[in-house]
Formats: sequence, C-alpha cells, structure tokens
Amino acid sequence: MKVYFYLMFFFMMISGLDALSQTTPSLILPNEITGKVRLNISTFSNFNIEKLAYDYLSVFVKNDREEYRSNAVQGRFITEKDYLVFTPYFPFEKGMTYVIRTKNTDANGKYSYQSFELEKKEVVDKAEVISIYPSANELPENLLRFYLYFNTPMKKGQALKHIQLVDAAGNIDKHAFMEFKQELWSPDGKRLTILFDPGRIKKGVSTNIELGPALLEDKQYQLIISSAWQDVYGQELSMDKTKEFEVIKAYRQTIKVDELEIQKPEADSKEILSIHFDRIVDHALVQSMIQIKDENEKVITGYWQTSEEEKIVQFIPEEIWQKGMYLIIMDNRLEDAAGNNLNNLLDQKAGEKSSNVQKTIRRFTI
Amino acid sequence: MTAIDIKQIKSLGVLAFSSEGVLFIGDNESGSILAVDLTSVPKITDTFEINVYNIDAQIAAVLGTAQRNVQINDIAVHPVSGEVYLSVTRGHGMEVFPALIKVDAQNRIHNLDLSTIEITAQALDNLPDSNRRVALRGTGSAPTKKEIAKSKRSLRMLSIVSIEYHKGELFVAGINNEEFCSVLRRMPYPFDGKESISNIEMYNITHDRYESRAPIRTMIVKKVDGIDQLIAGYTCSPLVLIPLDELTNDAKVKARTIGDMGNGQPIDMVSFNLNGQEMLFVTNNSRSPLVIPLSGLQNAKVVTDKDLERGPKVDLNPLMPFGPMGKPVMFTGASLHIDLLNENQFVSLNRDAETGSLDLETVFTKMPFKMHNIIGEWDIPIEHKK
Repeated sequence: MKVYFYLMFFFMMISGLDALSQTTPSLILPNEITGKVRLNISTFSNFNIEKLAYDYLSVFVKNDREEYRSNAVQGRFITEKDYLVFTPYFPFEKGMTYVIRTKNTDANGKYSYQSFELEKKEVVDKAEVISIYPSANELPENLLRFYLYFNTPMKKGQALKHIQLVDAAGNIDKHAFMEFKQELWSPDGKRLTILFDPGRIKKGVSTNIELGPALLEDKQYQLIISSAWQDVYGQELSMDKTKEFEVIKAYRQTIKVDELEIQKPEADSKEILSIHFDRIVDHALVQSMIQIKDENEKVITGYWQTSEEEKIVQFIPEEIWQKGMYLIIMDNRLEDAAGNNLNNLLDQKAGEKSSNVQKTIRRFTI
Repeated sequence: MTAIDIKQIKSLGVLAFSSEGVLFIGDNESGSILAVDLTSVPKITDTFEINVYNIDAQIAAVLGTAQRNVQINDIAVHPVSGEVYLSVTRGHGMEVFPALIKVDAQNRIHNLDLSTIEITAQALDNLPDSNRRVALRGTGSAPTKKEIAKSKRSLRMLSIVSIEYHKGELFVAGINNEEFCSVLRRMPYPFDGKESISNIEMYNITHDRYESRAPIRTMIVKKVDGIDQLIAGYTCSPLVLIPLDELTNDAKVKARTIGDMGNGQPIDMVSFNLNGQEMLFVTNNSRSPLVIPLSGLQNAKVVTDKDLERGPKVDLNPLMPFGPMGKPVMFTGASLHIDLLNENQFVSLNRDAETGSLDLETVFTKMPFKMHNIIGEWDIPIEHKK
C-alpha cells in the first residue's frame, strides 16, 4: 500500500513538472540591437493582440528591485504566423540586461521571466594599427592602394587628417590620396582602403601633369598614421605607425597567368598549393577571386593566404588531394598592387582596346 | 502642406501648444519647426495631478535604455486634455534618438509613435553653421571642464530657443548665421514655407550694453499698452517688450527694456490667474521664480543707457532687481521646465533639493512648493506626556 502511494506521488510530481514546462511558451530572442522578440502564441486560446499584447509579452529593462509590472519597453506588436512579434521603438542597447515577461499558457494568469543581454562593445586596451598592406618595403611607382588594419573600429570621416605621405626630405604630399565623401571602410570599421589619386598615377592626366606622380622610382617614402586618430569609443591610437618603403619600377604589364610558376602539392597529402606571381597582388581580392576545381568542376574547399610579401598566393585545402587534373580559375578582376587586372592595365592607353574576358584558367595534374 | 517622413526629424527641443492642441517642436538639428497634430486628443473632465518621481529613470525604462541616456529638453501641457508632453533625447554621441513622451492623467508614461501622427514642418532659413562654436569663457580663473565642454557646443543649438503661438502665427526666438544674430522669426501656421526674420537689439541693464547676439530665452504674447506685444526675457535677465507690428522681414527692431530681474538665465514664462489678476510666472536657472503682475507692465518706463548710472550692475547693486519685476516666491528645489496644468496648478520638472532626483510634480500656483523637503515647526509632532 505504501509503495502504491509513493508511486502515485512520484507520478504526480513527474506529470506536474511536465505540465509546468508546457505552460511557458517558446520565445525567440534578438541577437542584434535592431532585433525583435518573438513569442510563440499557438498554444494560447483566444489570443487577442489588440488588448493584451503587453500582457502576453513584455520586455523590461532589468532593475534593482526586480519588479516587472509597469514601464515595460514600448514598441510595436504584430503577429506573424504562430508568433507575436515585438519591435521596440528604439534599438536594444548592448551591455544592458533586459527581462522578458511572458504569460503562462495555462489559465493561472501567472508569468514566466527570462533575461537576455546583447554583447557589450569590445573596447580594446590599446587601439593599434595591426598591419598595413602591401607589406613589402619595395612598392611600385604606380601603387594604387594601401589597406590599413586596426584592432578596433575607427572614427570615420577623418582618415586623411591622420594619414601622411612623407618623402625622404620630409615634404608632406597633401594630395597623394583620393578624398572621398564616403571613406572605404570594411563593415566592421576595422579596415580602411586608401587610394592614391589615380590622376597622379595615370600618365598625361591633368593632376599628373601639374603635381607629378605621388611616388617616384628609387625614392624613399614614409606612410605615417597619426596617434591622434581615435577609435569609435574615443580612444586614441597608442602610438604613431610608420611604414617606410622604397619605390621600384611601375607595373606596366598585365599579369601573364600562363607564365606563373605553380608549386603543386603531392597526391594523398594536404600540402599547400602555391602560385608565384612576378609582382605584389592585391591581398584582399585573393580570397574571392581564385578558385580550385577538380576535373568534374567540383569546387575544392580550403582557404587562401598570401606570403612573401603578397607575391605568393597559397591555397590550403581542407581535404586530402586526390590524383587527377585540377583547374585554377582566376576571375579576371584579380588585381596587382597597381590596380591592373588580368585583362587591362589601370593606365590603359587611350584608344587601346580593352579586353573583357571573365575567367582565366590554369590546369595542373597530380 | 504635406506630412513629413519621420526620418527627417533629428531632434526634439522646445515645445509650445496652440490653443487647439497642435504641438510645435523646435528641431535644432534639422533646423526646422515641427507641428504635431494632437487636436483630436479628447478632453479629460476630471482634474488630476501629475507626480512622477525619478521620471528620467521611468522614461529610460519605457525607451529600453539607462537613466543616464535620457535628457528631457522641455515640457508642455496639452490645452485640451491637460496631459503633459515631454521632448526627450535618448542616448549620447553617435547613437542619439529623439523621443516624444506623454504622461497621462493616470501618471502613466507613453512613448508616442510619431509614424502614426500627422507631422508637418517648416525648414528655417539662414541657420547658424553647425561648425560655429560657443566662445570659451571661464569664471575668473582657468576654464573648468564643464566650461570647456560648453565651448564645444555648436551654435546651432541656439537656432530655436523659444516658440510662441499667437492667433495663427508662430514666433520663434533664436539666432541666425549673421554677426548680429539674435532674431525673431515669424511664420503663419498652417505652414506655407515662408517666414519673416527680424533682428532684435535690446539694452541689458545688468551688462550696461546694447546686445544683439544673445537670443531671447523665453517669451509670451500679451496685450500691453493696448497692443499685442511679446514680453521677452533674456539672460542676466532683462525683461523687454516688442510690439508684434514691428516684426517685419529684415526689420532691425529695438526692444523696449522695462526691467531687469537680476543675474541668471530665464527658462519659462507662464501666465496664470491669481485672485482675478493676470500674472506671469517666470522661472530662472539661477534664482527663485518671479511672479510678475501683468498690470505692472502697462505704461512701464522704458530704460536706455541714458537713464542709469553707467557701468555693469550685478545682483548686489542697490538698483537690482530693477523695474516692475514682481516678487520672488518660494520654490523648493529647482524648476527646469514649467507649464500651467489647470487653473490652479502648475506642473514642473523639478530637480529635488535634497536628493537631486528629477521629478515631474504638480504644485499650486498660490504656493508653488511641496512639503517633502521642508521640516518645520508643524512637522514635529507634540508629545503628550502622561
């Protein structure tokens, strides 16, 4: 008899727990500041958005009193299929804790609570320039761009105030770079592309005639990034960053893909495939402009990197190389450091016919 | 007149209602006056008080942010419903959003969804260049951090300092982009895109100089000496009269100085009725509010530099305050913004005297203070010894 009661009690406990877990409806939390909060309302009977939306779903700013009855975050409610969707009038804030109150689906009128927080802004200890590309110390006279990489998102709209090109005599060239209304930043605000004024590079263009090229062969220059530049959180760079370089002959030929030296991997290995260029290639384009396929046109997965100051492009495969024939497919928009792509020179002579081939293919067998 | 896209709204600053319930808002960032149509808000017949404590924290909760990210810029009472509207800035620096808040008769806080209300706008001409800054000025010694911060503020924030609606027209006080930049703009409502701009000069008794750069801080239209005139208060703190008739385009208007309230910066000027007499309640960020009988401004003597001994006259000068400036009244804590809630009461955004909390409170016009910061004779109960 005792055992029977125990079992019954146990059974009631289990079923009680079950019932509890079923009374809390499922929620989808936002994962960005402009996100929404979604509550599955399919298990409610008589759901009425007009009168009771806040009763079913309320978001609060977490408070010290842990009291969540009034002053919920205000916003708009809509229903989308099985979900009641709440969009606050203003974006959520990173680093703040919000408490979501949801009505239980059973008729007891009680609420369940859960909190969420969007990741805090990552303020670095020291704001720094991590790298400058091209990384070589010898750069062509018709160099088109530099890439500056920072470890933190930087304040926009003031790049040219903080970047200087200085020659060996200490003269600052104030017109070396293109001025843009919209600077060329990566979406995360950590990479800036700066372009030399193409007018200074292209022969015979008015700025080239008036000011001459920004870079001259055999001369030494410094690219200086001032520590006065602040990141978006108001923190200045920890120190000035200087890149010294010497200018070599301009790149005045398009890349001859047929003449590139290919260092093949061994079959049944995960060796790196290396492509040797006769010059510096644009490291940022490498990732998206070259592909390896097998003879059945199946893409070989892996990732690309540059070495030897961006003159060697390397492919690191994810899988072991099988014996067979492979295709290296280059998008003809791949550029060298002077902005010449596989079809045309940046400084194409007037009247010269430009080519618009889309792809160039090299084959190799292992 | 077409409704604007709410994306054009960049900031919400000073507020003023028309008698029908159109809410005019100064948007210094976009350089325009907004007209928010709240004429269909229903009348509330029961009288009510509004007492919302730590209102900045409560607004922050409704806007999903922290108390430190809420700045209340102005308040105004809806002439029909009596509910209180507040213009708010949510956030600092790069991430700033304007918000319009309503506190209803039950003291509940609502963020108004501006996308659902008809809003028209008039862009203002010749606004101060955003790059022009306030001059750097210290108080005798080297400028403090706050004084330096003040000098970094754009003059653009002074484009629209005070708005007054009168008989189908708006009067907007502020500065423009010229050398003698204190201006009054005048425009019809509904907006037709046109405005007239008059330069205003006045004699400042405290400073003993003619001033034409500092903007009017607060103003109201009343009949004085038989004609409609703006009664306007300036910083340090002259009170002047300006006949509306003189406010024509490009006019160089000399305002009539009839008094000086003493040092400080006026904030708001509210008219109310006290025992059958029309009064002005003038708040100031540096001194007690003044209650000024409107009757005292009739036939008041207009003062120029010829009438007084030369030289600056600060508060401790025996002449100050000067003219028919009424009486200072007790007000516990500091009123940051005030408006008339009903015929007997003001509603005021108060900085509490003891805790510094920001409270929206109702006070009587006859005795505009609350008891909670006062401990006097009657607050100590008599102990009855056995």
